Amino acid sequence: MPSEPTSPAPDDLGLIARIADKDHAALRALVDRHWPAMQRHALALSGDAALAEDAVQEAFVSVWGHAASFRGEHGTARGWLYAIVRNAVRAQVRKKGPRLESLETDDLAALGEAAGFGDPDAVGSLQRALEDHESLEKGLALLGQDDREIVLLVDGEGLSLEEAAASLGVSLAATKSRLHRARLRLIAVLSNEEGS
Amino acid sequence: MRRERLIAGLRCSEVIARLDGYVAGTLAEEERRAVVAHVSACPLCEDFGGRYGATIASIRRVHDEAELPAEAKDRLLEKLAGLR
Repeated sequence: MPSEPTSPAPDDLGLIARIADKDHAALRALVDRHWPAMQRHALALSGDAALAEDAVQEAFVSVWGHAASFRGEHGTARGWLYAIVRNAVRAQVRKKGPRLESLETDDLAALGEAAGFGDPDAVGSLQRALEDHESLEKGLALLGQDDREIVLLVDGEGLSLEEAAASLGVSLAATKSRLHRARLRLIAVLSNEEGS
Repeated sequence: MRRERLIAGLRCSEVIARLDGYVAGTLAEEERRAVVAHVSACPLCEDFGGRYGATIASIRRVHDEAELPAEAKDRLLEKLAGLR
């Protein structure tokens, strides 16, 4: 007996259109599809479980309220969701914001030096930090907000550069440049971490 | 930059500037070949490139292994169910 044809799962845009019509089942389906990535991203951005949960709640409530106005301004629906979550996290961590004033340069050679280029002592420190979740998370938390966001979107969540650029609302060239510098700053932080 | 060398037409700082493109596979073929030629003859760049790649891989691993509290999703669904 031939099997029943199964209808394909609705894509994100289809779900968002239905959410705009106040369809709770569509909102639930969107949550089922994207909650893990959004929760993980919010947690990594904020380093605070309670704050991350609040931000993700705020983000999906915002999706419910603004689905009708979604016009693809952040590329894919996933990119839009990341942008909403990011803004929700930003609103909640505005007062924290650790800064790396010594690494504010954008000069790649200077960042390479800071990241331990040619310094054999930096290798062991970095290696130890990369093997330890806590050290890596601490290093990420020390980055400026823009750096942390781009590294987590691309290297953590695995977004393409194009998708990350659309979600962040910046050009592809700026995204590439920011990502590279953010990685070098992270390596610098991890290579110089005390006691690592 | 200290200890910088010129190999295969590229200085070490120029290799560092291209590491992201090399990792992403977006360098033009000629540029990619020059980077490979430099790195294979420059232990400092080989070492630094390895550290760059290892850092990216570790970020992904830590991110993927993050534990998500299932009850947070339950609370979210409860909140969303009340929306009108």
